[in-house]
Amino acid sequence: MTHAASDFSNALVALLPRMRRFAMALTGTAADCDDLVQDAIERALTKRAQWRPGTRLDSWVFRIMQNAWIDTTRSRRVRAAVSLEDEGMDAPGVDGRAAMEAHLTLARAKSALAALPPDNRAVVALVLIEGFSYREAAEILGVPEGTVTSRLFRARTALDAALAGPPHLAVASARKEAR
Amino acid sequence: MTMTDERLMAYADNELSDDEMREISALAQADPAIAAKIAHFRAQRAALGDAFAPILQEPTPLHFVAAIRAGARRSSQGGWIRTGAIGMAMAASFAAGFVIAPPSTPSVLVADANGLVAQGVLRDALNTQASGAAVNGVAIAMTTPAKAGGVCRAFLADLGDQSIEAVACAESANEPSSPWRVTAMATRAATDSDSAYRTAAGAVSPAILAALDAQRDGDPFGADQELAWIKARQAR
Repeated sequence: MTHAASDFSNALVALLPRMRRFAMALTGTAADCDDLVQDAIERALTKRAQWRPGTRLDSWVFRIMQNAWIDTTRSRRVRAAVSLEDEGMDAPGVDGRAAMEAHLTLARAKSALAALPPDNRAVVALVLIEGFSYREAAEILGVPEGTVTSRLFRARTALDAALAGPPHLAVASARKEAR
Repeated sequence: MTMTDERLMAYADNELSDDEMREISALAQADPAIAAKIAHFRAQRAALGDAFAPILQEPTPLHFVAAIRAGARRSSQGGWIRTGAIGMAMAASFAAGFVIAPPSTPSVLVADANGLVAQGVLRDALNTQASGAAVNGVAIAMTTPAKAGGVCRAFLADLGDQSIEAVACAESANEPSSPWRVTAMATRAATDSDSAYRTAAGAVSPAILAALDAQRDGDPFGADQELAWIKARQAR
């Protein structure tokens, strides 16, 4: 193996934990997350010659992942299904905002992200979870920086609505009225 | 310019120019409502970051590491490899925790009271050889730390009459006299051996990766880490 090939594969292996986190934010399920990482690894290895040493590998790989996920959702016509896992159904009736800030479970965060339009979800994952700047996220997604800002703002407003109230608050208050 | 919530979000994310940052800092000090909005954007970012942080702490799945290493070798050699086939009976027995000895125990593996121990060229390879290409019929696929200062290596070996893939572990990673005990092993189809030895990481079967996964205590060594460990083991 050449040095360049070894450096590339070591850097890619080191990136795996963040690839899995990004994939989990995009896909919302463990099975889709692993499929996306596997798909992205294959694409990254195939396109290796296109990566320019000295530029950020993470941006390059995340762009591949975002494109791979778009391809997958298109081919599968996956609807942005919100799976409210049991873990996400905790803390009924408490002040939602306080609960969110104190302890947001992964399951609930995934549910809230899954309810976002895919473009907005990618911006949230890149900026709020992966820590890219607006400009870096814009480059990864191939959109203007202003688009990132407006998508992020819309997404954060929607996340507030999703996370501020417990998911079955509406059900609880409906029950109350029925009594 | 009006103070839109979008600008407050950009402020909370440290995305504005120095001048704008100073301007909004002053406004936030004067207006608790603005300060609260900024604090909320920051809390939202922190909550999301915390929620997803545990994924970074999970052990890296070995099959991803194997796929990357195999792919990098494949592309630098310009050829495709086949993954070796492993008998289903053997794969099933690993799940149950058994170790199966090959029909004829070769001289590189010697049985003692506790199982099989690597000898000769196999022991030397496990002690000194980096992951990658085969030397003397042994190709190391991957090295991982193991519990209590141990180390485990997945490898392929050509034993003459047959090929095996296996996991061997040493209780003391940096002590060269610490024996390599085989903790999982399977025979391989002989036709796979040529290509498999060039690309060990990708050629190891899922059953062997699973056996390694069960014994490791941490992520597999990168190339530099592995070289440093080999040096440390030899320095004794």
